Amino acid sequence: MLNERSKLILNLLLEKRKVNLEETAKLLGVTERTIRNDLAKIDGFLTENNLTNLKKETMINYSIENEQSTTIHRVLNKIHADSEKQIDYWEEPIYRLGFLYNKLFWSEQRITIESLEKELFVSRSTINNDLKKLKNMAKEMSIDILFEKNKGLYLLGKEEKLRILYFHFIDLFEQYNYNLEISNDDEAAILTYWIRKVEEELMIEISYSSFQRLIPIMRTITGRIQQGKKVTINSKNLNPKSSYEMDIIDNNCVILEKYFNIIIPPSEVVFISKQIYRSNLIKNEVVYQGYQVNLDIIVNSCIKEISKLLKIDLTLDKELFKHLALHFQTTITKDDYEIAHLITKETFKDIKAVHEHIYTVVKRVMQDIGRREHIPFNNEMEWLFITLHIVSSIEKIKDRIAEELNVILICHMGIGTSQFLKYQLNHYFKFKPRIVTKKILSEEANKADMIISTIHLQDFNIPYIQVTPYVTEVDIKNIQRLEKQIIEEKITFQEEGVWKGRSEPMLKDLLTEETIETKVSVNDWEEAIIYSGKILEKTGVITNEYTQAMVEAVKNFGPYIVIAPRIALAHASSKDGVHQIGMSLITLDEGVEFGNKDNDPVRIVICLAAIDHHTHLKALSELVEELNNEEFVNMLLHSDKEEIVKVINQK
Amino acid sequence: MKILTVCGMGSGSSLILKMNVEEVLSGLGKDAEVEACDIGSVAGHQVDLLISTKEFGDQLEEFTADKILVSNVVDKSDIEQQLKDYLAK
Repeated sequence: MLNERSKLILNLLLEKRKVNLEETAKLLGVTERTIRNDLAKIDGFLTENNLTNLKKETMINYSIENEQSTTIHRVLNKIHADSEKQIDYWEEPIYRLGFLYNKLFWSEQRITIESLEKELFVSRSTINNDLKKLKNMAKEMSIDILFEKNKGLYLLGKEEKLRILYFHFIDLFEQYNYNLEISNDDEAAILTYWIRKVEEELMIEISYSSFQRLIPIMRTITGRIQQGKKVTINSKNLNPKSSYEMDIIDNNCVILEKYFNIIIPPSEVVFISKQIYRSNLIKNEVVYQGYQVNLDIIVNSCIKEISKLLKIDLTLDKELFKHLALHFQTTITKDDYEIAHLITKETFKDIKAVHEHIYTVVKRVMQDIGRREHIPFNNEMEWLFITLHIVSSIEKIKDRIAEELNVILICHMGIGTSQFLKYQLNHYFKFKPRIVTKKILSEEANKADMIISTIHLQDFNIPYIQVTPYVTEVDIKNIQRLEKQIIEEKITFQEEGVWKGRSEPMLKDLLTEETIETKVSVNDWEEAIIYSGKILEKTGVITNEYTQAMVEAVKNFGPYIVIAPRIALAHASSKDGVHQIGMSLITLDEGVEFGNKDNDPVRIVICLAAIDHHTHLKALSELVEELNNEEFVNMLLHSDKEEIVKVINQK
Repeated sequence: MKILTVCGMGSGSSLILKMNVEEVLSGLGKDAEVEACDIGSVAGHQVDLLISTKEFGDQLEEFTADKILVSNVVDKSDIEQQLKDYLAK
């Protein structure tokens, strides 16, 4: 059915043949979205009458085929005759209820039934009927619709209840494709901007329909505050989210305060945040061919596996996570989603050529994940898009590293030239160099990533470059090359021992009298692991979560931690609560069964806390060497800790 | 040749295995790329040989690469013997 506005637009089309979305929206004082809805209705109407749909040009102009105009006029006249008595959409009772409530809600005075009659073009009995229905609806929200003699109707209830019922109508109208046009375009624009900003800062993604609904909701809230009406929620008790999230919303409320010229008290901030979090956030689950697919898991393993293969840790890039989740959400749920349209063959080839390595890695990971999750990620374009996301994430990380590079400037020609040199470098580089005199260089040098010097230096294992005091282009190129090399090195996971300056403890540094216990008595394997963990908890190396995780690991993966006869190497992931690298060793007075048929019973439990994949290598390899030696193992079993420490220190 | 050593976390037994395998291979004069990883990440790698402990035998079943399973990860002589057998194939 065509509503009044659609008919008007259709008439405009018949008259002008072509309408522009933006202009039409302005002309009719509604949003472009409303016009678009109306145009969809017109298309529906045309289809119903076996006519060709409107033609769209660049999404903004709509035009009508010339030959059709007589037919349309005829059909329109017929409709007009049919709907002479009543305007069609008033036939939807819910619309009338909404209209009634809208009136009562916003009016600051009593409303007479006569005025309603006039505005709604309906009989008094219809109004009375509608009012009865509305009263029942309101009752459920503890709202009373009262009538004062000689004056009219008014609402009585808690402000938050009144608003919730109003939001209820906003939702209902959305379903019927009607709009309560409560905000003008400027207001809608500022609210759209505001919601986007809050969304971004809260790192949430609100679904399209929720977003559309939040605009009138926010306008309602600001409008009510303008009227001096306030919710009475106790801001402490009803706080739905962490104070951090509340702060973000609170800070952003300043924008609304300025624009709408209001003051938003804390109770309203709570109310607003409740509305935001009531919205549908983009779900982390999508349904693919009837199966639930967890996007978190896909994105996580995608980033993790790509990180591993590229040897670059991308797992901390929250933005990358969000972008990929959104990307997968569209590509998984929409079969007909043609990303191919978004990119030309040439660009495709270019990107593939420039980032060949990353592309190959992405392809491999996506094929693996696709196989595992039974989703066909077999599209070259898909791989390419992910490649682009990965490339930009890497660039971001590189930028950050570049900014944080610790660069030392050494200049023998006095402070003036050093300053000049520094100034020159600031032009070309992101890093902030520090000027250091040669005297204190040796202390500072350990912490530095790069030294730039105008004099020749000796015996430094830190990347160092000699430049002329009046930096030439060649110098800049050289520094750029070195900077690139350092960044490449920093961004990659470090392999064993490559990382200069980072201390790798020896076995004797980790196994001391503090971390060894002998002839411990326990009842089972779980107690044994917990005992070994407690030692490191006491020395502040790990948290209790880590100890628990070690036990969980055995429950999950089986007794594989029994790495050799009589020896268990308990450990968990470094993410489970490790403050620093550490190791403890306990010997048990009696053997304990771990369930490992080759190596049980266990007499020695070693607890390992690693902070990464390499810092503990030196100590671990020493340990492994010793554990392969029967004599050493026997020594462990028959000695007290003083003796054990003595033996380890002699090695 | 690409070798992957596997354990539950990728930082304990698999690292020990990696160290031992590298040592054994260099003793045998063989060149290989050895990487340690956790059981959940095996699928992300394409390798010629998987080395792990017997506990992971079942979970590695689905992978087609050749496998060496040991019960004692610190026992270099056992690893050496099994690697020799594998290389002789």
